[in-house]
This record gives sequence, C-alpha cells and structure tokens, in this order.
Amino acid sequence: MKIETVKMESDCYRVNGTMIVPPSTDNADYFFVQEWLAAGNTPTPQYTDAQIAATAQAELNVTSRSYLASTDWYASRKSDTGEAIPAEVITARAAARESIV
Amino acid sequence: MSRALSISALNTVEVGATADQTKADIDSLGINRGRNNLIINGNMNVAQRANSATGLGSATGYFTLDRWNVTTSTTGRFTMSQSTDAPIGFSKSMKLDCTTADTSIAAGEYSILTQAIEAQNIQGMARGTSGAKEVTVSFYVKGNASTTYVCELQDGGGRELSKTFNVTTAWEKVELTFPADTNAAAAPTYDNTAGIYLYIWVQAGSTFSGGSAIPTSWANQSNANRCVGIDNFFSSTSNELYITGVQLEVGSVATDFEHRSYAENLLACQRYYEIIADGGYDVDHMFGIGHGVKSDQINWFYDFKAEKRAAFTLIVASVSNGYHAKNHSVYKHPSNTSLGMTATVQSLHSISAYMTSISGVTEQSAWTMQLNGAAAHIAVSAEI
Repeated sequence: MKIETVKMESDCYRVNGTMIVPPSTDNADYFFVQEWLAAGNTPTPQYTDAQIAATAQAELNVTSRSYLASTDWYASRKSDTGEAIPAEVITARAAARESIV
Repeated sequence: MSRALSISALNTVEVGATADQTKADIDSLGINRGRNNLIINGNMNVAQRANSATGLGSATGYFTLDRWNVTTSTTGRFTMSQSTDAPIGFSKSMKLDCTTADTSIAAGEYSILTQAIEAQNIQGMARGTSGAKEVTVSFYVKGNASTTYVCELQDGGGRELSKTFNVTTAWEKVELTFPADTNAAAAPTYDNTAGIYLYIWVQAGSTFSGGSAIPTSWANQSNANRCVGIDNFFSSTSNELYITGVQLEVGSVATDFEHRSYAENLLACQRYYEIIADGGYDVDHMFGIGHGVKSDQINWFYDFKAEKRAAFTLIVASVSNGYHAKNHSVYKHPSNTSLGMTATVQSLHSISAYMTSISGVTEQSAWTMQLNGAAAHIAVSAEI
C-alpha cells in the first residue's frame, strides 16, 4: 500500500483519506501504517488547534448561556421587588456574558 | 466408464497402494473427493474490488481479483485484469499486461502474485511433524512467448521452497510437487495468521535471483537462491501472462481443479473483503440502519455476510455528497470523510460505524443509511 496521508481519527488511522485502519497487529493495512510511522512520519491530528479551540468555545458558550438563563430570575426579582442581586451573582453573570463569543 | 467398473478399479488399486496412488486412481475415476484446494478464487471468478487496474508495480496491495495480492517494488508497470481468455473448463483468468518495461532490473526489485493461506486451514499438511505431507501446486498459464517464472511456497516462519515453471504461447497446466517439511520449525500455530504463502514470481532482481541454484528442500533460504533462472516479465511491453485454475493440495498428485460454485467462492472471499454498498450496482443502495447519538452524529451498523478473519479496515470511496442519512423526507448530507469507525467497538461479525459532519440530528432518531451516486462505495478488508 502506498501511503500518502495519515490522519488520526477516533482510535484509528485514516489513510489516504479513504481507509480507516484500526491499530491492530492482525490488520494487514496497519502493518503499512507502522512502517510509515517507523520511517519518521507523523500523522495529522484529528483536530487542528483552531478546531479544538472552536469546540472548546462552543462548549463554553453553552455553559455560560445556561448559567445566565438559570440566574435570570435574580434580575426579574430585582425588577419586581427591588431586592438586590447578590454581588457574587452579578460578578459571575458578567463573567459569563464576557465568555460568550 | 461404468460405475461398476469404477468401483472395481478402485478396489483393485486400494490393495497395497500408497495414499497418493489411491488419490491419483480416485481422481482418474472422476470421483469428487470433496474439498482439496487450499487456494481461494483459484479460478479467478471473483473480482469485488475491480475488473481491471492500471499502472501497478510501485506498491503492494489488492487491486482486482479477490485474494490475489500484488507484492511488488519495481519500475516496471502493468495492468492487472480479469480476462475471459481461459483454458477449457474455465471461464476466467488473471491477465497481467506489461505497460512499462524495466529492462535494467535493480537488485532489490521484485514482482509477485501472492495468496496467503490462513494457518488454521493448512492442518492437512501436518507441517513440522513426522507425518508431514507433500503438497502439489497446479495451475494453467499462457503467455506471449516462452518464459520461465518461479512458484514458491513460504510458511509463516520464513521457511520456503521454490520451483521454476515454463510458460508458452498456449494454455498449459503446470504441476509442481513440493516435499514434506518435517522440520519442527515448520510447525505453525493453527490460527488466523498466514500459514503458507503461495508466490508466483514474475520478476526478481539479483538479490533474489543472483545465487547458484534453487534449493531442493525446505529451509530459511538464502534470498539469492529463491528465484535463480527466472525471466523478467517487464522485459518488453509486449509481455502478457494469463493464469487460472490455481490449486494447492496435499499429496504428490495434481488432481483436477476443484470447481466451486460462484456463491461459495464469493462467500470464501468475503471473509477477507466484503462490499457493504456499491453505487455502481445501486446508486441509492440502503446499506445500514442508523440512530441519532447527538446533534452532529448518527451511528449505524451493518451485519457482515461472512465472519471476518481479523480486525478490518473500513474503506469509503471519496465521493462528494456520496453518502447520506435519510429519515422520511429529511436528508443529512455530510462530506465523504464523515464515515468512520472506532476500532474498539467492532466485532468480526458486524461493523458499528458513525456519520459525522452533520447537524440537527435528534437523539435516538431513526435513520436509513444510503448511498448517493454511482461512485459511492463502502467495503471492509481483513486481508492477511
């Protein structure tokens, strides 16, 4: 097998874009991947740094929005009754808003 | 010959006859002795991957006919195809057609047709025991000129033995009997790894052919002696080689080729390579059942027709929008690189795979996995 590209994917290697090769010594294609690795080649990671950052940001957005939604009642109470929002909640909500991109 | 005469003749030869004599006599009577061919797809009938592949020679792999590996490193190039040129009693052959000559062979160059046989399938050879058996390789060949190539058997431990054979411009049957290998080092572990490799060498540089003579007994041979006397398939772009009816059997007699039905042949091949879906056969082939796992992923599964030999490779042809998931009138069209698998959750009987790069999937929703185009193709390979 002529290997041109190898990319990590889940616990397998995606070879030449079309073959998903398991890391098993019983697998004949894995033999060629091992040779390729032994020759000093390095697989492309499954995700780029930008993709990893984007995924992390997306997860943070979900968490922050969820926190804001769960503490909106403080703002409603203040509006209805005038009771102040606790300082730590104000700080945390500000941080949550800041974190959303 | 009448049945009564056949039985009578059989009774006669069995008295004091050796096993091989009896086998030969039985064969001459035309009595089917059941399974005796260790080669799969010896009649070249099954070609799941492709009927033809061009430009071969630079890399080892499986390209056309099932179970037949091209083991090669050469500057010569050839086309490998399934041909209808075949001897009487056969309808198909493997054809090699030289398209780029290599007349200045580097020492380390080689080109070999290989079939690897699982160790658990060669127990009848009794290799490495005092009762080890002779084995016979037979096949039909035809070329464009008189040439000499090499047939070699090699076990999983590297013990090997070669024999030359001649090719002419007419279909001729080659019969090569190899001695028993009683050396304890030849005893295999009878498992799913390679027990015997059948090699048909058509080119060998001096590393493999520069020795003095091909040995006559099994051993871890000197590489230089393995192909002494071989001709070069790549000597001219006029060169062709046809081969079919390949049989490897226990005993010193080349019996008639054991014909199997196409369905049996295909099923045997599917242990090593199985097409899950082929757009060339059905452009919108439904190949599996999926369920929504999260908003951007559907998991799907497919039960194999044949248990796989070992951990398999998933092969997905690169086709833009060639695969989609369908739920009534809703389609999810990911990129072609979105089909994949996680090795740790696979079995030898089925594949559990995933489709990603999609959105809007409801958890636990049901999906039909479908091809979307003639070039779309999904297969798994568990070749040796």
